[in-house]
Amino acid sequence: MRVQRLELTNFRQFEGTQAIDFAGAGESDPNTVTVVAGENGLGKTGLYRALMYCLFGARSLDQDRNYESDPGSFDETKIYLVNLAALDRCKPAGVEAKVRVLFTHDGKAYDMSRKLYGVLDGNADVLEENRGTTLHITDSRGNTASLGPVDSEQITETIGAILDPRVRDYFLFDGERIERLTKATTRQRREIARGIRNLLRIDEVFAAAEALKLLDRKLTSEMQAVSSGEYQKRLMEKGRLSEELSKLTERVGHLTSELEIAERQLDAIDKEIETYAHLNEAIEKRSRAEAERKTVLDEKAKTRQDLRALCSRSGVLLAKDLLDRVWVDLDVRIEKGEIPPPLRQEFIAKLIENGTCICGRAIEPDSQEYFQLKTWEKRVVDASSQHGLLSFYSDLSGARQEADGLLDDLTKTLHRSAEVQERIDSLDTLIRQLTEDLDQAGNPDLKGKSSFRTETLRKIAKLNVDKDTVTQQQEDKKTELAELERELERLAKEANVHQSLARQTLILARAKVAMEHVVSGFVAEVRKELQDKATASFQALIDHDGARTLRAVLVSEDYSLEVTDWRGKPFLANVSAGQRQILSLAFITALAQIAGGASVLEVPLYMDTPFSRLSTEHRVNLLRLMPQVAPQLILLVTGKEFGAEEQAELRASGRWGKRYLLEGESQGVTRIREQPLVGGTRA
Amino acid sequence: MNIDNIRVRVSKHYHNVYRDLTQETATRPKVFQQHGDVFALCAVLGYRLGRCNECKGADLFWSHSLNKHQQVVLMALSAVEAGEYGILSTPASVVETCEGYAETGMEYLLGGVLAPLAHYDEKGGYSLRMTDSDEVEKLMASAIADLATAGPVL
Repeated sequence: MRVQRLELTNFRQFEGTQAIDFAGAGESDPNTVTVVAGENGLGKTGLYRALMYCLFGARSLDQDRNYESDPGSFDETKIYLVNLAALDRCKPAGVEAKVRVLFTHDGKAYDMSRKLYGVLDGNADVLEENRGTTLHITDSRGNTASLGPVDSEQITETIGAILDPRVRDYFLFDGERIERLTKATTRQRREIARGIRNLLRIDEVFAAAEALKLLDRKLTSEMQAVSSGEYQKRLMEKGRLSEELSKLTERVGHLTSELEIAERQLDAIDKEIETYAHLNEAIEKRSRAEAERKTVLDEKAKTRQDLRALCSRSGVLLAKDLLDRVWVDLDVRIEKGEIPPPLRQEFIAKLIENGTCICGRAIEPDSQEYFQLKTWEKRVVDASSQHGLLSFYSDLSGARQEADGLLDDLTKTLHRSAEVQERIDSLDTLIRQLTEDLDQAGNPDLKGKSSFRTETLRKIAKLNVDKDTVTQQQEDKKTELAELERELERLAKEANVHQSLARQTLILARAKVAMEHVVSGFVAEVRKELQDKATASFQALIDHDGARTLRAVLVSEDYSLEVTDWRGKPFLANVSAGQRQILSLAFITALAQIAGGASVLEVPLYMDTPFSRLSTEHRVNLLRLMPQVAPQLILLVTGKEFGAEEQAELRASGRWGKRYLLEGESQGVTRIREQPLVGGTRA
Repeated sequence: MNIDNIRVRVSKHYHNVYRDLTQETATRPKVFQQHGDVFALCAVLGYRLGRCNECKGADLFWSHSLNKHQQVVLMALSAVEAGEYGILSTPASVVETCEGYAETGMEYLLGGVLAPLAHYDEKGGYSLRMTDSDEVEKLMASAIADLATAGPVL
């Protein structure tokens, strides 16, 4: 299938009739790449949607469901296909929308159109109604067959034969899908499994194996009806085991679905939390500030306590000069020998009492000598006072030291107090500012979301354990069943009963086992081919740095993707986001190669903003490889990710044929403009 | 040599200030541990101001609640005031001298650092109206640091 032209009339963002002619429409056309550049919201994905709508009548894409946490709740009538600006302009009458696709397949030219009519009701809700499909098929001799709205079933069959509707979503890869492929989730494994089965059409093999199982159950039941004794008993046991196995299989399926839903919920909540990442940062910052404030407040309380202790001792502190002055005075007196004094009070008192001088001369009362002695007696202090002054002198020294230390302590504590207050003021300002910011942003209930996330993680862990347990039980039952079937085979021979039916059962049982081997062998083969192709693509895509470490791509039995390092050890957990994307792209490329290479499917590959997470070297590598792989490649890019270097690389590939620019003309209206390729393969 | 076992008098209209500075509430700790701490500070402040008022106050606390260093300060103060050390032999005189200085010291505090908190009532005299947010110790400590670094008082 080669798409020549996509024509849109009042479809999605495209008002009026606008068209894109794709490069690579002819099988011999060397230019196979079409670039459609446009910013987000201008309708890049709408082009793929238009193609799928015209071919299959699909109103929604798989991607639409991917953004829903509960895919079951997805309502595709919410997706409006008719251009809203045209609807508004043509109200109340309404407007017709149409998508027309011209393509070739197997030597025939196809011209297909699908129409719908939209009106705005009184509540400004959009009502849309299908208006039929037409398909004109022209063969190589120029004969044309036309199918109209009454032939809708035939049209569906014709298109289904060209492109299996089950894989219709598999040719549009957006960033979301690319990223999902390397996440080891149940959904990822299922997606890869679906990709392999549908894209390579091996699901029929699985269906055949399933049919054999059904047939086996039917025959066992018939055998039971005509058997007796031990054989019948064993047959009944087989029936019971098969039933149990079937229940366990169902249980595994159920657990897998639950896991998928839980993982989708986790994905959705992670996305939601991520949108509040900046707020989360503010909340964490505020929490840190609040915790620090608490610590600083404790420090402040301690500082105040120290200040109070210093206040209580401030009398001593302020008396430093006084203490110094008195101490110096006493020190001088001691130095002079005044303390203790040269004359002792008791000696003077004895002289006065005896009335005799030390020389033996009498001292008369009221004599000059007597008054002199009396004066001396007053001047000298008694012994206890002398002792007290010396003790006071010593105490003064201690008090002076205390005063000295106190001033130093007071200065330091006041300085600390000022610092603490400054820190508190600064934290208060920060907390107030953050609180205002958070208040303005509303209340995203991040705590609630985070707790829901934790619960979901627990649920996933439990489901995984349950699934492992049930899977193990399932394996045990399979082993038991296999043993029983061997026993039945032996009994059938011994009993020699109902030979014909027994033979059929035996053949069927063997066929079933053989089919299981075929299926596993085929799947293993496909897996190997996928691994080889994906490894080759990966090596072509990965940059030099990555190539030094990363070697091969593995598609595991459970369909999870893995990449090995140079020692052959799994390395996926350590690779960067860009390298993960390269791994996914390598896998997609491998799928496209196998499908396209076998001529099973030949559909244009749409890549929606694939470069956003890639380094320049990865982008260049991708632009070199992809045009060689896909029969038609349509790159939907933003101007930001498709710069001069990428353009030059694509030009150098010699495969770039068309370039379109999507321009926002007015609210909800996009204009498609073709742009000439300068210096490329086309003038 | 000490000044134990003497009742220290403080003007009645300052009693509530002494109480407020040494009393704690459920949410606010006391600024000074005891009356003697406030008294010693006031006495030294009065000395630094060089003003000694006659104290006609009432007994407020016992002198033995003053710690050793505070007693030494008060004794030094009274010796300087008396101009001789004989006064130290009569602790009552030491305390009496300091009571006069403490009066002017308290007057200084109430007119300065404590002025924003001071409240006067004809019956009860002065009291302090402190809230939990008033960091009285910080105000006091800052004022003391300023005085201590202002220069020597001789």
